[in-house]
Amino acid sequence: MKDISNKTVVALLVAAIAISLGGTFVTLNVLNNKLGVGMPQITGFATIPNATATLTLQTFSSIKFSQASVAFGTGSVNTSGGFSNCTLSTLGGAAGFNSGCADFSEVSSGFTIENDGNTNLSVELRSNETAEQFIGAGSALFLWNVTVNEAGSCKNTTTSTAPENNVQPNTSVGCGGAGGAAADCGTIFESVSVTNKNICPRLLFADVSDSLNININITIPVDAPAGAKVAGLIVTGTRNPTS
Amino acid sequence: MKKIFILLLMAIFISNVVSAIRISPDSIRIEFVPNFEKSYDFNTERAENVGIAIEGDLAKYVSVEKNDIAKDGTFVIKVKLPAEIETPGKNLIFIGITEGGKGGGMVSGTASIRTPIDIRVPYPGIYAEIAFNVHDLNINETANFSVTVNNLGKKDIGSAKAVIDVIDNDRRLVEKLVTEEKEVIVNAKETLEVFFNASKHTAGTYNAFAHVTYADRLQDLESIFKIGTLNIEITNYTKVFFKDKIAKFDIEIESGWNSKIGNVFAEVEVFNNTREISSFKTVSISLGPWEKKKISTLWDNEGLGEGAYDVEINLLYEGKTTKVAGKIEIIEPKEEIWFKKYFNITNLLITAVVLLLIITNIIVLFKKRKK
Repeated sequence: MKDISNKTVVALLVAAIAISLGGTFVTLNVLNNKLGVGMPQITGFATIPNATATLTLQTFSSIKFSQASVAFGTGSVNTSGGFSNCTLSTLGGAAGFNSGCADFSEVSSGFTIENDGNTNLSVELRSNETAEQFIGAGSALFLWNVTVNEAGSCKNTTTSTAPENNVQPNTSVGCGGAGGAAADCGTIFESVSVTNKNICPRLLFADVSDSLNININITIPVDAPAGAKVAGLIVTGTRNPTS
Repeated sequence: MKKIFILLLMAIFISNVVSAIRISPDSIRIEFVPNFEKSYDFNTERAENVGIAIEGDLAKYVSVEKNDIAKDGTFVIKVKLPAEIETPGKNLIFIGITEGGKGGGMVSGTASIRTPIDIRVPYPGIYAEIAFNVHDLNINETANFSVTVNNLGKKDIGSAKAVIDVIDNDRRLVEKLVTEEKEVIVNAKETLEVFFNASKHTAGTYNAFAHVTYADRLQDLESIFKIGTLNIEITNYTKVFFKDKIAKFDIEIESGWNSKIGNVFAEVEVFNNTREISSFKTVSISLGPWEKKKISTLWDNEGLGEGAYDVEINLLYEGKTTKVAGKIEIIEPKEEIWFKKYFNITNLLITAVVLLLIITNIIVLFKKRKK
């Protein structure tokens, strides 16, 4: 018997595919039209032009410490250098981050808090320890400094006046009013509060402007007792406006 | 000298775990009715050791009905109000959740989130919160001035209306508007509106005084609005330049129009005794309503020499031109300014380091050659 050529095989294959597709098309149309099976005619036209999709958008409040660790390590007051206090800071000044200290690590960034929900938040901050409770000496200092991390993150509570006023987070008396300039309060450290203190009337939730920085500054006097020192900052977000 | 060691484990905030917490719904408002009772479903992340705190003067009327935060992140709060609350107006209760402690003898930043429950208790008798809203507009436009009356009292307000006096900058009454009259029932908010047609007035700033009468009460409210005209003012420009330099020519402009103006640019001509000696254009910008902006270009004054020159700035926009004529001055740059610019400590230090490195390289090279 004579061998079948490649050309013949390809032709048979194409014919088989065409017959198969055509057969399917005809069968489905016959089923739909003649037998009344109810299948739609095979076309690209939508026979049900309208559809309704329903969803419920949930609003939620959410806040996070996106950078929640500051570790100065172990060290002491640098008495051999003639210092009677050691100051540790997460915000560098002319003298650097730490001064009068021996062996402590330098930490160049403090905490960052972020509104990662979909509502604006009023933000309050408190410490669980006073400076004296934290370090164990009456002359110790435990300070915080709040600034905006992303420009325009913090607004005043009034929305009826346009444009909304940017607010520098409140870090001291006389700072943080409507339109307060960063220079007025951005570098001010103040004593931590053990009761809730409003640090931003309205922290926005838009990703490009929704975060604040909290830097800390601790002064340890030479007479502070040795040992592990621990303290914590608690940030509380509440939807603003409240209803 | 005695060295006093203060071994401080500044393990403060050693936790590396990001602290985050969420709550839904983000707020709840309840219009007070005697013996109100309802349960509310809350959602958060599923987590261990999450505490629920209820705070506020009326916290005793709220309780945790079910706490499944550890199981599926849900909990149920039940509000059961008494027959009467003595404090009218806004009464807030906060439902707060705080992440559980990380433990381990260290302190970390802890995130806490709260949902306010706002219980609005009606005031005795007639009581309303009233707001007055006016809008800036352009000279050929009309705007909707409105007074909203929010009835927070225990009695219906049979009728509320407002008369609005529009006062110009010279303190003259230029128009009197009267809003529609509406009934405002308990717990309802109604808006009393009236149209203001600016085409009858000139551009400028106006005061609007709303005299609102509701039931047998009267309340006055004041607001300010502006009528805009298609005009951009040139408020300032750069007046002093250093000789033979390419410098920035800034023009400060302010829009007096309550809409966006596109394609704004300036043409600047510099004259020496009426003879034009230089001309240039700025880039084109757009201005938002009432916006102040700086429009700039670079100007090369090489060869012009010291002295005062006349300048004419033509600001072009929307087929209109604002023209300002004035003076500019070209001065010799001071030696000390130049010295300060280039001979500051940073530059000197960098130069010294570079020279040191070059010398070191030469020495090393010579030593190698000798070997």
